[in-house]
Amino acid sequence: MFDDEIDNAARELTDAQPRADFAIRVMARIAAGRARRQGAVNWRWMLAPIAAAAIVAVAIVLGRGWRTQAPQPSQVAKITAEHPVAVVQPPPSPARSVGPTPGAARHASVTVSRAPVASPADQDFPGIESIRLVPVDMEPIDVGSIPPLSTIEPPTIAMPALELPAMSSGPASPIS
Amino acid sequence: MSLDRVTDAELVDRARRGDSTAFSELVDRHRSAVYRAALAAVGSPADADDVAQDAFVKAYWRLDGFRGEASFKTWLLTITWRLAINRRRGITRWLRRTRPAVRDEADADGALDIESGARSPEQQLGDRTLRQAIVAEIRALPPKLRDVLLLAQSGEYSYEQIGAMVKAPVGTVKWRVSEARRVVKLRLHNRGYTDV
Repeated sequence: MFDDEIDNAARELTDAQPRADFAIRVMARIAAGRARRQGAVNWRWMLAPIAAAAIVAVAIVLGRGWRTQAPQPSQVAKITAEHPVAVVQPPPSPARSVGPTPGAARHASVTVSRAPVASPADQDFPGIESIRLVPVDMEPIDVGSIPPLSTIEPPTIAMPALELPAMSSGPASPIS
Repeated sequence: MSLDRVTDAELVDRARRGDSTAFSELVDRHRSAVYRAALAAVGSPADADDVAQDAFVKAYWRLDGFRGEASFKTWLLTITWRLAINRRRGITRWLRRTRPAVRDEADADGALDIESGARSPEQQLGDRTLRQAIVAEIRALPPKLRDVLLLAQSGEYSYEQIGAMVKAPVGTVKWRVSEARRVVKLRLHNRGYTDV
């Protein structure tokens, strides 16, 4: 008797059906999820070109920064040995001139110019147009006038005259 | 064209290709089994409804992962059971915070404040029917025993399907059903009921 009662009671505990609109609600949720996913896909497609443009911009900025860095002499020697390139020497220019003018106001004039430097990267990537930096012209820096130096005349020092006895003309004795 | 004679496997194929009618037919076919499994686990019709919906939605988005090693119903019930157990754990945690006197997760609906054998048979017979006592003792069973008893007695699932849901061999499932009956009977005896 107990067995039957237990089975019946257990059956009744789960003897229920979902509401009539169950399937409709499930399909509505699926449709909503599909629309949400579709929206997410559209956003991804919109973001893709923006992301690509950002990557290109970052690459350009980084590449420019890398080229403007002067290579270490050891690196230049190594790269030159591996890939001989024609290194363009900067034209002789008064890159820095500081000249005192005797007897007149002294002016310090500094001119900084940067000559184009052939980079090994130009050889490595021939398809990429090399970026050459134009010389930077700067206004002379006026340090200011300095009064001419006066002659240094040390004062005379009064010293008593030393009187030394006459030295003998014999052979010198060793110093003990 | 009517979908009544189309197999589950064909409906799954159609649903994978975007045929929402095919999946709607699958929902119609299995909603009762899914809902009753969820109800067996969580005990509350509202929670069971939520779990059943979640199970179908999750199954829809995972259709590509269904390889057909088991039947669609078994696969769906496995998803349902996992969701239901997670829901039950959440309910139990909440009840333990709010009601420290709850003995175990079987008491989730608050129907198990009765101490087995604490009341005399006369009092119990006066207050409750035998059926109510049995229901209370079934709910008081350890979850492993109660789950398989409810699933087996619902008549919706084979022992293989129950084994797939609770991740236990068929032999273990059968033993648990038998053990659940034995424990309930023992507790009824302790309450003073005698088997005729």
